[in-house]
Amino acid sequence: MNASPNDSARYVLRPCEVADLPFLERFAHASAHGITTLPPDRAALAERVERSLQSFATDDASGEEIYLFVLEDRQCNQIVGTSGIAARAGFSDRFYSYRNEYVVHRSKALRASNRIHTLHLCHDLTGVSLLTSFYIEPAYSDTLAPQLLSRGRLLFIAQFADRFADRIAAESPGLADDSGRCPFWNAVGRRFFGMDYPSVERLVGERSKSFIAELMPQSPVYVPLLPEDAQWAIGQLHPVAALPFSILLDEGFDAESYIDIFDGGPTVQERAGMLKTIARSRVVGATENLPGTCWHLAASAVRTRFRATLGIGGSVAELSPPDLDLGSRCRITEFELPQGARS
Amino acid sequence: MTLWRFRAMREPDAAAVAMLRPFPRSHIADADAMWVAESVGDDTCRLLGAVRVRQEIGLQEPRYWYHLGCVVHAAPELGLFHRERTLLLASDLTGAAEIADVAVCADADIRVLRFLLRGALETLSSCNGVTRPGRVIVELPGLREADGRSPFWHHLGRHFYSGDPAQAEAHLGPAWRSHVAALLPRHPLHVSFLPEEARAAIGVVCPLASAWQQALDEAGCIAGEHVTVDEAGAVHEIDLPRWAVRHCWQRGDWPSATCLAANQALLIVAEGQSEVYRIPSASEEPVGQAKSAQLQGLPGGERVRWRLDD
Repeated sequence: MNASPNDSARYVLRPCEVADLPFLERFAHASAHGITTLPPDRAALAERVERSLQSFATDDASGEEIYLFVLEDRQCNQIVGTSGIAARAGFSDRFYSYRNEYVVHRSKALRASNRIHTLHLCHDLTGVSLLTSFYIEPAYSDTLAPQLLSRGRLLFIAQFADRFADRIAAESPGLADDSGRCPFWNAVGRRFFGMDYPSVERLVGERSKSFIAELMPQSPVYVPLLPEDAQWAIGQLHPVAALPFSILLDEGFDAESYIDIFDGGPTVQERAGMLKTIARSRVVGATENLPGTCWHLAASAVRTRFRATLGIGGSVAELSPPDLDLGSRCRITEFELPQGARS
Repeated sequence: MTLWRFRAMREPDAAAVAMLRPFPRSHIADADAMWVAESVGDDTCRLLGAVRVRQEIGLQEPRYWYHLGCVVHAAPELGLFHRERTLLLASDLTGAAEIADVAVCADADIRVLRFLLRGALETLSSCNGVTRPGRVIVELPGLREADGRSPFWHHLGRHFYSGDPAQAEAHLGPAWRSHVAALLPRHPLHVSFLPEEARAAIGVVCPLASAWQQALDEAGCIAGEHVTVDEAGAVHEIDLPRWAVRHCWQRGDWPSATCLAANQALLIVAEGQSEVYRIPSASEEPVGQAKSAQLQGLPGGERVRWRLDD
């Protein structure tokens, strides 16, 4: 990853606005795999942007809010990525996952025991806050931009904690080929629907995915009974999601417990307070001294004019330029450059 | 004249029973609860077959079967309707009586199997000293490939017990199924998760036991909702009280002066001795002409019932 001091405050995370819609539309078409919260449909995207603006604006949060962010490259004044948060997964519906469990059976007489991997359909993650809609322009993959795009959301959650659950989760797309053929879906869901996953998504349309989940087998799936390619796909990541997933792992998310019930992709989750960005964050004044050699994530305290940036400097005022007003009570967290990063 | 007799196995029978041909999965080495059918002539006596009759199974050692169930996944608004078969490991048949471990002589035909079944059911129905069972089950051997591989086990059980089932069965006898059940899945299994080869084997009976299956079907002992845990062989069931009332019996002295029509037989159950006799028609002779010592010595009275059988 390239991280030059010249990049300090180069990128800004802010709420998505109506004017950003063309960028969102472009991202939605470019992200062919698995980002169902970015439908490639202008009207649906416009509705999401509108909902997001209302969410940022409302003082009366109920849990159904979604927050959409965009990332600006201030050097070229371009929108280069987007990310989001759903305040409560499932909200008024159930949020389904498969929970990885292992059962051990033993027979004394046969002097044998086994350890069997099972998948249990569950609603454990209903009501947790969900990180969604991550997309970064490929040209920016190797920069600080995706770090801010992903971790800036966590600063937002830390800053406005009363709007979110104390547990955070994020879904990542599972293995599928270019035609949408997904080994996990083919082995599990397809048996109950008789169609491939893209077809089911089209059929279900705007309905909640829980509608599909309710048609799935309610009893645990014994993994050894699945075809090998499906077993191998459990918890495997689609290559396009490697970067955001690595950031989530670096934050401290647990990736072992849950998978997506449709494509078997990993669903990470963790208590908010255990995540690096949130746990290490603190509220500082604009002139408070910061270690000048460290990179910091910094986020403003005003919800409707939320801004977050990544910078280096001796104080908040120094790490963000004057035109980027982070306000007086901003929240910062020290940002460690990943190993191998060039500073 | 030759009659057939069904009686409890005795020690001297052991050698003759060992010469019989057991059906696949039948274990005849153990004489406990074994019964035999024999052909009794004026001067000869020949073993036709043997069968085990167990009362109240699973009360000492748990027994397991897969229960075949069904779940429906439906979403009318999407036009989706799926009827899914399920397998659930269960001990539903605990307490039933069981007819098992059938073996017959080399030239036996289906009539011998019918008589073995009749004898076993009549014996259970006579309930000497024990509570008359309600349900009687018969496990049938499942489908196997020429090399002895069970497709059902290969695609299901093998994933839960990696040992050799044949070796385990040789070591533990038929109780090996109870032991292996401890390793098998406890939650319902959707049959659709199994490959077609395994699905197709569920409830299918080994061709070598097809005559036995026919005899069971004829008697109304039909495949129920369970299969064996290792091969998914069909488990046939019959409700004994309902089976018993299908036939009208006379009590007391059997009609020794009666001449039987062709294809007719006289069935006699000596409840006190737990023996069942089948006397076939023989020319124009009254059945009482039979000179079988055993038959001549049969007591009459309330402990003997008889009826004419087709």
